Amino acid sequence: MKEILDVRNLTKKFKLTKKQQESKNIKTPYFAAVDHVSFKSYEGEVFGLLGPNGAGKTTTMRMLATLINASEGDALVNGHSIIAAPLEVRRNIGFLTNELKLDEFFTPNFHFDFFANLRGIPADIAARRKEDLFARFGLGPYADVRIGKLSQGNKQKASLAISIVHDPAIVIFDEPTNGLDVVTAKVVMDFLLELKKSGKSVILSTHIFGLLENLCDRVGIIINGKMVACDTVPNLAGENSLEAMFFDIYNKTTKEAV
Amino acid sequence: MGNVTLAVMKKEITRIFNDRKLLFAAVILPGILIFAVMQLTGMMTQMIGGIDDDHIYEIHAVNMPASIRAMLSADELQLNIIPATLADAPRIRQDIADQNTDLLLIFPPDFDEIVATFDPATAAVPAPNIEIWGNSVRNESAEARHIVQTMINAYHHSLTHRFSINLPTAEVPDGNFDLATAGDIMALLLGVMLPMMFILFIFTGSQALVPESVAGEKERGTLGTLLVTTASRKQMALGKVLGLLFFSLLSALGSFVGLMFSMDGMMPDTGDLLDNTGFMDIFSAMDIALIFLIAVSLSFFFVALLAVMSTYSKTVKEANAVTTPLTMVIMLGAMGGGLISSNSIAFALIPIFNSSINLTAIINAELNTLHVMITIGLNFVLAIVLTGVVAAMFSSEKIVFD
Repeated sequence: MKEILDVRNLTKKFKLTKKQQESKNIKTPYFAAVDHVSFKSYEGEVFGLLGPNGAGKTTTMRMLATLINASEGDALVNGHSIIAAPLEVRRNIGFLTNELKLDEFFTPNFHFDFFANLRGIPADIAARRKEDLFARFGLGPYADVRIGKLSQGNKQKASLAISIVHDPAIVIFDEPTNGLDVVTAKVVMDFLLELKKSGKSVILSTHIFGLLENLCDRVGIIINGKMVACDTVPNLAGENSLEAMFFDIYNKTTKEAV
Repeated sequence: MGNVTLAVMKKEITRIFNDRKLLFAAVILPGILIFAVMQLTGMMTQMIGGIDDDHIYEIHAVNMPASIRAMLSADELQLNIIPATLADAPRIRQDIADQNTDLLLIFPPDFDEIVATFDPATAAVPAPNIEIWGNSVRNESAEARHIVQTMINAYHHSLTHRFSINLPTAEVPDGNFDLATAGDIMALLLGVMLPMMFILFIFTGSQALVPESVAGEKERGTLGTLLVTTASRKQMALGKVLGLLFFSLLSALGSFVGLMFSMDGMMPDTGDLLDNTGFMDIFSAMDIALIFLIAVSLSFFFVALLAVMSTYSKTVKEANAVTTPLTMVIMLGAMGGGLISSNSIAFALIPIFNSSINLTAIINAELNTLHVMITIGLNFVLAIVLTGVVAAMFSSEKIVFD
């Protein structure tokens, strides 16, 4: 399989105030939210990032999406460095996170055309892609309804469709099924499988073990900013469930840290 | 202009057009409010201090000599001379105190004869005295005193001086030799008021829109969605600023129209000036073009300045709190042009103040071409630099995601 993502010692440090230092009991004036994380992902693979809240998953994804700068290390996205060629990286990725939202005053139709325009997609190609994606997500009847008036599920479907308006090689989804009902969550899961089948690489962050077991080829476990384990689901879980394996690793890691 | 700039600009314009509440609050409401407030102010001014045009002043006169009576009888003065006796004086004074009548004049008996023979160099007794009783609280009484005193002073001067200035004549019975036209009076008022209000309107128009559009995008999480695309930060910032500039100008225009319509109510004494003296009678096409260019460049500068402050803020509330004190600075600068008149180039280099000076100069027909060009150029340069700052801020993770 072709290597499409190569994360090398990616690190993100945030400055701390004296008050924060005291409350976190950290002696240095900075805090490593992501601490020398390395992993690879391949074409047609779904790679899952698993970890508790505050482990560094979202920060890692933000760095891969070039929204924030890495303090150390680098990552090659389809051969482009997130540090040296952020524009090329953005051209190659689709990024979906609950923190980045669509303007509630506009319709899915407007948003799709707007983002296609921003990404320089020719109008005819954008129109065909919109038709396909809106049909795939059942957004047709809601295409001209303002985002603010849509249900949570339809908002997420619209966000999904718009995040991949440019047909990227890699899609990075942070908690894509958060807050969704089971039916919409299933639609999202099925779509991620379709992306995988079509040869796209998916980087997925989620707390839902079932989603990881059903979708991911490999899983990386991040705890306290460090990648503590990374392998295929069967290799990681062995005879146990992924959930049991995770808590086993989590307990060991946190005890060691204490 | 890049594709991204146009797309973002179009989005900003569509966004505000779609938000009817914001559109009404930022573009239409200021004009309506200005009109309403000015009308109300005008009505109150008239209620408090106005005198009806056809008011006939009641002048009670004891021993009024023929010479003075002749002077005060001109129809234009609108004085009703009511003969009275010394015995009536206490009652009339009480009426004046009660604001029921306007004025009481008490002359010595045989005033004309005494004045004709009186020689201040040889006289053993004081000169004859005229008592003028009025009530300064009552506007009609104060105005009657002013008219009568002006006429008597003129008579006094004609008796004691070798020559006189502006004595009433048959042609000018009210002694008003001021040839200022309604247009001149209007231009004077506009010269003082308009630059300040014009600049403030442009600023408040921008202030209503920019925090919501820039800090609002951060607060709603929609700015990050834009930043994850391949669009250039510079073009994105420029598109945002230009889209907001469009509405800022619309807002300024709305306020300006409101002000023009409201002048009638605001200035009761020159109430019908605007009906007779149009904008085009005061300003040439070149003046209007320069005013427009100043407005555009100043709006651009304000929008970019507010965009920097709003990008720095985390929420719309914070942005409003940060930009509100700026209003005071803008007001000071906007007032400057009406208070200080100078051709110094140094003044053309002080933002806001330079626009105020130039607007005043245009209104007073004292335009300095170099000044106005420097002002417009400086506004554009500052706006472009500040737009660049916004673009740089869009690239700062601390500012966008903190």
